[in-house]
Amino acid sequence: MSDIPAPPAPQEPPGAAAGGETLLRGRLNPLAMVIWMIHAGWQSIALVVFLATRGGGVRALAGVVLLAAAVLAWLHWVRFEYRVYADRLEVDAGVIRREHRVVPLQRVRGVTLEEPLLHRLFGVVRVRVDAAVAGDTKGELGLMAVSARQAEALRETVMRHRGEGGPADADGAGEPAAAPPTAVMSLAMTALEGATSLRYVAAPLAALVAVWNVLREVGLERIAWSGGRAAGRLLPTSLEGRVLLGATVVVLAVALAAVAAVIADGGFRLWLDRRRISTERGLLSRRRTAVERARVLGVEVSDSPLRRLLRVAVVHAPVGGMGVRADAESAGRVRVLPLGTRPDVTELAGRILPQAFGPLRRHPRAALRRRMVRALAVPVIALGVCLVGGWPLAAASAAALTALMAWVGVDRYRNLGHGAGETLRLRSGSLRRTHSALVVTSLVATEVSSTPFQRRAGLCSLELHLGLGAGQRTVTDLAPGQAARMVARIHPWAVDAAGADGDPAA
Amino acid sequence: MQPDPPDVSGPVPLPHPPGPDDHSDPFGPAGREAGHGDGPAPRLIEPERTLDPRVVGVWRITAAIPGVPLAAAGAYLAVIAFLNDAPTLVLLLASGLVCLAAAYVLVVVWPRKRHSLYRWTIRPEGVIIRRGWLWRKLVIVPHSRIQAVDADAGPLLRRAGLASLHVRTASGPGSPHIPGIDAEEAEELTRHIASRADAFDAT
Repeated sequence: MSDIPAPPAPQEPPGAAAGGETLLRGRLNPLAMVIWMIHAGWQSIALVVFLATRGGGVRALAGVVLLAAAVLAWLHWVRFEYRVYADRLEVDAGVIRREHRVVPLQRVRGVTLEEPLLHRLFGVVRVRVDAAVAGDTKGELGLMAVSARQAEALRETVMRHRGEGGPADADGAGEPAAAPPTAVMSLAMTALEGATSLRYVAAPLAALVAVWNVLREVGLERIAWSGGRAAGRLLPTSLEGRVLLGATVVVLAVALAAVAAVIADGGFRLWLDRRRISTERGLLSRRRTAVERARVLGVEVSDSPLRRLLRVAVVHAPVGGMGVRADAESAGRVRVLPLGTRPDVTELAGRILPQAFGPLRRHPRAALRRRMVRALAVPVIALGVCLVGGWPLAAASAAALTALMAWVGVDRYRNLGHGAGETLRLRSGSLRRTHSALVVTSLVATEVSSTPFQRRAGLCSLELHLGLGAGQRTVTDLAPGQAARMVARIHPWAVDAAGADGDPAA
Repeated sequence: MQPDPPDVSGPVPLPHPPGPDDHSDPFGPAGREAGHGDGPAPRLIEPERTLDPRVVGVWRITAAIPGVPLAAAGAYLAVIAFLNDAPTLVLLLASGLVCLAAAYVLVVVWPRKRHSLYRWTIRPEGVIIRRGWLWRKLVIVPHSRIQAVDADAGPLLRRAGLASLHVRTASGPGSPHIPGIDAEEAEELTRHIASRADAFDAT
């Protein structure tokens, strides 16, 4: 809503001293009161509706409850104020327990603008300021509902002054939404993302399992059983009928997955500029995320066998100090492009981290043996048991599984690779393979480890700790000399100078 | 909605335009195990310092808490086995001996072994710590990434005049510790490492 009193425009105070001038000051949008009542007070609304249907004097009580809720919501609104200074963000909030929070702008990792469905209806935006440090669960700060203009101004001001805490680095472009996006995703590509994602395709099955679990918890599994039996009677009896039904179910699940992805990620856009990476996605509720480039520790490209065939892949960026809740599937990573064709993906990755790709070193043959043993141990044992037990059908499926896992083992070895140059590069996996490129200086600690089995095979592992919640990346099964070469690139002081091989960094 | 701009094209130019010998395919085949002109592989520095030998005594006392009852149980079983000619004599004797052997390993052998496995060094650029017997680890932490250093000591360590030095970084698994060094040296080292870390902070 644009007709509410707008906050003062963000100004560049010439040489603003820390602690001084307020750059930005604002309240929530009045509609936050309604949203607050719906979110926090939905129980009281249910109570009001219940009381209102009783009629008579009770109806008056309903009015009282409603009035109380409204007054509380109003108090929340009145007591809430945020202020941005050159070096910090301050928020006053709370009715019964007054809160005064100060977040140094240097601690702010990112600002996320969200538009859930309700907010979209009202034309307001929810803002989350992520200021988490390791182990801090209360590191997040939210503004329930502000106008889009306020939200943009807040993000702009916070992100601009976050860096050195001063107006020195104000060279950035204006609102990212105003600039043309660096990349967009077509709806067809988004649908493909869902259709090729196990997470999306398996979602209906997961929902079914969840329903079943709930029924069992309340002791109603009998209903589910009889329902299942009734459904079972409807199943076609002929083989063709069953195959047809199976195919229909699969097609339906894939179609559903495509629709779900379009709803969640539809209209994905990405902006890259000198200082940050911003994304926007979602068909019904738009979600925006901005991450500072200084916090980006690398770039990762992953795919699966199906996506490999289609020559598409996904791009992530490991980010330090990022909570689980931003636009990440897991903590410490931001999705830069949910899905793109191989050329687009490589170009984009190279733009996020120059020299993200380069020659990779192969791992010793002993690594192949280890991959094969690991992939084949279980299926071969299963095959043996089935053969001894004399179950031909089970043995046939175990044999098929063995063949599949043999391919996976070989493929895992083929995909192993590492390299060190301007960036540290590592690649591994098969069913989900990932090429990571990391900024050399981003590592908090490096670990060379070996198990007895690895030592017997003359191998070791290298663990690269990114820290700040971004986890670690492991180079599995490389020769000790290869590990030493990688370490020489990361910590030139940690290898013997005599052996150092003319590395410019040494 | 604005009209869709073209896919992946923007104002930021590519830093390195793809050339003929471009390795831009992330999933292309990996090359040789060692590259051109790599020369001999460098060797990782072996940390040279060991833990203070007094820590072995501390570990022995700690191990004695389960070790002594274990040995007592073993001795009891063995004595019982000798005094009675029960049909299970051999079994009793065997389990008694196993208990005694386990207690011996726990209290006498393992602390010494553990001491010999631990190595550490503090260089001008960072800290290197080696540990582990079956699962061996060599952890390398540059001073510039150290957030905090602290030395602490439980009652046993304190009585032995020792302390344990913790190197804390932004990563949990990347935060090693040195479990037994002289208390005074630990104090000195915390100050030294902290000042090194600070020096990196300033630059």
